[in-house]
Amino acid sequence: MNHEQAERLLSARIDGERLSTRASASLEQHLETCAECRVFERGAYRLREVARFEVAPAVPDLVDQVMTAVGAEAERPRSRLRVVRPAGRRSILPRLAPVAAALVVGALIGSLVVGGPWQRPETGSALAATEVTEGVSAAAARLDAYRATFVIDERHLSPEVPQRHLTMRVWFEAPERFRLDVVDHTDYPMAATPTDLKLLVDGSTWYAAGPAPCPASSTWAPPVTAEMVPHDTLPAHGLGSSTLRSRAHSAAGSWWETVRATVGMCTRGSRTDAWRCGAACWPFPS
Amino acid sequence: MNDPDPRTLTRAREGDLGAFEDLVRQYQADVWRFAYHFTRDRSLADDVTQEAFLRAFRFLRGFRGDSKFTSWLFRIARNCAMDQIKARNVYVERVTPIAGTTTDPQARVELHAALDAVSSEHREPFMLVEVFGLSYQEAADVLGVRVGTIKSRMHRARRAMMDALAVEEEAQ
Repeated sequence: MNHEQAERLLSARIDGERLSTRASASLEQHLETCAECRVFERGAYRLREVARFEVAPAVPDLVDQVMTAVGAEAERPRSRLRVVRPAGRRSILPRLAPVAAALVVGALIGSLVVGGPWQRPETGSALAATEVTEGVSAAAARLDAYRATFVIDERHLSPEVPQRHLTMRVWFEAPERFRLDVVDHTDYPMAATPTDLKLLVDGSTWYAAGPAPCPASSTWAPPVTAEMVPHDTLPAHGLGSSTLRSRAHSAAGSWWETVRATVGMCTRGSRTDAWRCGAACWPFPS
Repeated sequence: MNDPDPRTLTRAREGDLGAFEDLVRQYQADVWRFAYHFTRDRSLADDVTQEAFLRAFRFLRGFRGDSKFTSWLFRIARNCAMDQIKARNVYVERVTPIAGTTTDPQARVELHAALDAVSSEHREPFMLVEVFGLSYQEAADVLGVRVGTIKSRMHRARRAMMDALAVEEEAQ
């Protein structure tokens, strides 16, 4: 195996592509003697780190704009489309998206990773990073409250840290109340700051704590000190439960290995009960 | 990136606007981010996103499921981005640094210097695989090339970006 071939295989392996047994063996043999290839591998992980840690730009909410255009398209004479709109459904996403959703997306992606499927090896299904915020956004359209817990094992971020273990909790209350807690349980072999993160959003007021520096943006108001309520006082009673839907993902062996997700949510029908039982311990400053 | 619930997709294909709105709600952020990475222009990304969903709506009945829905949607978005760029004659060859989009200023400089070092032909698969988390097969579906081409371009992109970063470090 020459150096060019080895680099190509290394690049594919870093991306989670499966190599044949023979190719893997040849690559390992080559790596033992090729310092340049080892430099390439370290450099590729460095690039990954830089690329993954870029905070996503705030995403505008274009649903109404898109659906207006689509609706006009559907009403054209040649169309035979059936218009079905849930009665009484009114999206609150426009209020939610500009501030809270953007903050959560930025915080999540900036503090954890960009993209990357979170694999569930037992089912072969995957959960994208964006699904967390999508789940919150989707909940915003239909629900009054949403709660999710994620257990994340991340592989291959760097050779020194072959696996990271994090837990992440997300709470949402319509229309603009969020709480996000990320706890990094990784035992780092070197001096490293755990990716712990807290984010509270209550309308235009928010509190955040995490591995600085935080993104400099006009949407980030001066921090507001809020009293943190212990996690275990969150209301469980009155919340239905479900698992996040996820689809099969073909990228076997990719970065994210495990996600266990439990989701609690209360629908508009159960609003009164859920709020009553949760009013005393909802984790947002009043 | 996950595909939608098959029932939602089926209803959307049958013309259910509520189901299509669910698809828009589920993927508009991903499509916008993809368009933004492609165009580096918020206004263009808005236009590309709207046009992409409009085309998806028109052609959804023809979607046969040969590739993932998300790959199909990204391919449409990419075509829309190309059309918008051609129409405005503002092809973005260099990546313009965006203030405040990266947690670490030094990392931001490194990233943009590295991205500047590669052509769009190599930058696209790098962004799809490394940033959006697509597999080689999914990236190949989006870009309409073979998996082997993605593999090759990923390697070349990495090599070029690393060389650029090495030059940057030497210059400092």
